[in-house]
Amino acid sequence: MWKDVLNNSDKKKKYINYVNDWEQKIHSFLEFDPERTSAESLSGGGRFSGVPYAVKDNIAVKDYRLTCGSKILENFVSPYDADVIGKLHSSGAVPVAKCNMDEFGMGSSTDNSALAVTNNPWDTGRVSGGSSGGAAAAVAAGLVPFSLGSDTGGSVRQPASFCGVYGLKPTYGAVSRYGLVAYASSLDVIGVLSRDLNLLGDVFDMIKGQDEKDQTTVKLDPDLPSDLQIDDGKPVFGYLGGDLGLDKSVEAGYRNCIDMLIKQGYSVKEISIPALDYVIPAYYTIATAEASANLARFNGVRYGYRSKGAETPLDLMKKTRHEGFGDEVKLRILLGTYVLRSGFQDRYYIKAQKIRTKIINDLASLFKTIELLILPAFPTPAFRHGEAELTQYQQKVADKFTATANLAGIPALSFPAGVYGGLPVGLQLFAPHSREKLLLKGAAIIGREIPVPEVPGYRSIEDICGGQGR
Amino acid sequence: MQKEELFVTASLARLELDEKEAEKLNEAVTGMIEYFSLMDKIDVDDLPPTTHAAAKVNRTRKDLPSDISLADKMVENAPEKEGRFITVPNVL
Amino acid sequence: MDKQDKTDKKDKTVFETFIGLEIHIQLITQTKIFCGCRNSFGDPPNTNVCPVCMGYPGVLPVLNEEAVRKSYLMCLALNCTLSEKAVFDRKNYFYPDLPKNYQISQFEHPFGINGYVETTLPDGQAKRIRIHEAHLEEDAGKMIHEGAVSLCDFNRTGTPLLEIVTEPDFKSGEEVESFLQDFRRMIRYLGVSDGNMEEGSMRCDANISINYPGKGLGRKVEIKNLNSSRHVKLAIQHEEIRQAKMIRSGETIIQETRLWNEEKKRTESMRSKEDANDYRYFPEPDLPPFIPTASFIDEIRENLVELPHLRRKRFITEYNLPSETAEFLTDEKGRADFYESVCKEGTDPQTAASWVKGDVAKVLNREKMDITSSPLTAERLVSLLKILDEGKINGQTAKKVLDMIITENRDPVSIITEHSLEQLDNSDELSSIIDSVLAQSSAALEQIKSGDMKPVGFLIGQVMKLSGGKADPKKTKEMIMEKISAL
Repeated sequence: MWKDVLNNSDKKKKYINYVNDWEQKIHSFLEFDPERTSAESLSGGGRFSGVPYAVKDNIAVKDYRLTCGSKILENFVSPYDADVIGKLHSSGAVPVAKCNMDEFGMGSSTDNSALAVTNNPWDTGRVSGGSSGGAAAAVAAGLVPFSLGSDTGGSVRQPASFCGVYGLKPTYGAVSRYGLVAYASSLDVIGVLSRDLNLLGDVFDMIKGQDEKDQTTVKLDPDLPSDLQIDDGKPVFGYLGGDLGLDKSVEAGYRNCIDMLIKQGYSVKEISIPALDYVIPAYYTIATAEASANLARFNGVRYGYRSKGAETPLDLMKKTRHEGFGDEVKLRILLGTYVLRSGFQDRYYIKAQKIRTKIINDLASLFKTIELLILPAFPTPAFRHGEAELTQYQQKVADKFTATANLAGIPALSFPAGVYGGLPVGLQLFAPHSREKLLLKGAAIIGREIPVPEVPGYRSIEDICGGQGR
Repeated sequence: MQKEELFVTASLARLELDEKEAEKLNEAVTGMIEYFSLMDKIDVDDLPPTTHAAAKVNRTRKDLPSDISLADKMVENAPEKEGRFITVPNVL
Repeated sequence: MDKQDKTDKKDKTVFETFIGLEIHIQLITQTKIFCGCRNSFGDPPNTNVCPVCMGYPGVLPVLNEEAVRKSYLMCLALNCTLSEKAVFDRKNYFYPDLPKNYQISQFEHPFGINGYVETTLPDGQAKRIRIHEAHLEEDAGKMIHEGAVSLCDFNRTGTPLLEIVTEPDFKSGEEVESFLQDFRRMIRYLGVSDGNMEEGSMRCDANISINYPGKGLGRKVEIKNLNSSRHVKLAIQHEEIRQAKMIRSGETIIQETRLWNEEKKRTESMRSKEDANDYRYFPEPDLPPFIPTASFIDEIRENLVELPHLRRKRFITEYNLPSETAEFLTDEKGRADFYESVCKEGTDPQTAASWVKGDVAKVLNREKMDITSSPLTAERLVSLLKILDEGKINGQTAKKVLDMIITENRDPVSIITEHSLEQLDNSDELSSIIDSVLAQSSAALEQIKSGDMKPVGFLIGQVMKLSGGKADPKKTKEMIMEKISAL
């Protein structure tokens, strides 16, 4: 049904109206322009011909702005397409919107965007999560069948769980990062958000693969033996035990999911990740260190915002960055610069990279006894705008469940696990390196019992286009 | 962290900070750095640092020119220019 | 300026000088190190640029295999130990001509370390210079300072640059100057770089310190902005004197970077750029490490040609050439290759050497041509020298033909045939030319008959003139003498 939306003017009109209605409430998009699509791109007979999708605004789409939610790139238009956009283009899918996000991917609420405030479709007083908050809100509201986000420490999975949709963070290197504006290069990966697990899997299949423009991309092993066994045998689940400091509703959703699996006859083992407490300091050390270098290119010389009236190049750079970056970005640049300074490197940066090795080893030995690991995505459901419920510091510490997968480079998927007190709760699955298929099958098993929730006001595309309007 | 350290760090990062901002950031940076020292508690001395997350094999590309040119567009994108040169205030 | 200048009248202390070099060479590749932009010099500003080398948001570096190969070739030539795993690092510093504001370089694990290279000092002595390391990095752009603005051109950004760092093994500016000439010859031989210091494809910074003899290294000063090997020498000499004066007057030498002022012929302190640099090196996450396998290295080794100083030695012994001639012939690889191909075809090495060094060089110079790309192939020269050797043409004609080969791009045989340049030897034609010359030269004949042989030369000249240069001078003389004595 999504296939016809953009090439039928009546349907397109209804679709645009639906989007605009929602957007007045949630502001998930920084740009929305389904009209830009050329006729020729709609006439191609790809598998996703004419299917609209939305893209986080740190992924380059030619001739669209590429703001990264920052003032420093507010008017920057990308001259090129990210590799994933090219791959989707050949399937016929059409990018129609750029999604709001925390500036340069730094945040867990999308409130750190310099350009717009995005609200959670379930409760507009609450955040949609971050940093891919716009991408998650748009999918939850049914504005697009899927969206592309990026996940450095949980930026696809956390907003997906806040909005009640699926969010996939693939294996590091499974998807080309060419065209993804780097936050932390050794952790960043482009992910997919959708309400439809099958569609999410299909999109992942299309965007994955080794890319000559990204020399960190890897070839995924196709169909490993245990993937094939899934239909016959039942996968062994593990879950993270102990006091995880979860909010009541998340705790309830977590328990419910585990109980359900046990009831269904799955083998479920309680496990622990010994170095879990060190994930966040290690993660933030590595991420900010890399970010301090990645964001150095924004200096007002070649493109983007330039401060007026500077008298020396040094002045120009300092003022441009002072005026162009928001507080959270400045904080992380300072942190990253600090941990790399000579004299401090060993204590912070090198130590963090060793802890990362420990995490990789911990998970590798875990996956000798289980096949899939269930754990929370975030300790709380969507919180209110501002820092009243969770300070920026608390938000960072709360990334530990998601950031673990980024440090280890393994695939992870957050899935909806019910609605509690009017807000969706999301959990995650981890799988071993390059076992996305197993991950999707695990989510499918759970999805049979715990379906994707519908946010009030959500309408399927069939309903939108088929009905007489609202 | 001493405020002086913050300014040294900011200078390395080419970030101008006004007083008010420096106050706030110093508190935030100090808090995080303190939190980072939690890492002192774990013994991972025997482990090698993981600096490269994925590719374990050599990756190179052929030495062949690409023919797509975005040069004009990129010159256009410059905030200030003179002819095809991109300009900044004089360094000297 | 020599050691005399390092002492003044009161204080006769001669200091010991230590000089180490950091040499950057731009590698010859079709494209830049991390993108498909052309690696070429002299194009309009900002034409060879793309999102990658302009540091656009979202782009990634993709390593050029040719830059890697040329780097390893150089490491082998420098007898370096190769890192088991070479790693690229980010060197963080802000400058308008450095798009990403970090330079991708190699810090902890460069391609090669602990090498050495042989050089010949000005006095003919051989000296071994130790190589600290060789690492690959990207070049920055260029800035032209003009009035209130600086103009940025990013064409050069991303040119593959191999940095070779020597140990402080040089003792004087002269040593460095002659080393740089040897070094340039070597990199051109290997085909890794054209080593043009004026165009900046080879750049050299010098670290210099002086100290009382036997006291080891002093506090080092780095000198930059050295655009020719002569300026490197001058700057070092100037700096030696400056530092000696300072030590004598009890001043402390400041460890700093100084710029060579070419006009004023002196080094000047660089205004300290910001605070002290802290490059915050860390491994480049966008590029996997490079692990040189044995088979890869073997493949590279096949391109390791005989280096100039070894070839020069061999030329002296194998072809029995004077050292000066051997030096000339081996100065450029193309010339040495040409010479050896000519010899291989059976040409006498001495004859080949005198032609290559003499007339061939003269004509090529005049035509501003390079031996490798000129119409004079080794085959053509061999064929020309063979015709000369067989006496079919004389030396003068051979020179004329050589000129025509080069200017007209033709084979010697076809030139000789078309212009009927073959020598007239014992033919009737020569005999009749001589007869007619003798008939018109009665005065000369009288002189000769009376025992004065001087006019013989004149007669030969007349015959050459009438024959259009084709007469064999030896044969002509013989016949003239025969005919005179028969008169």
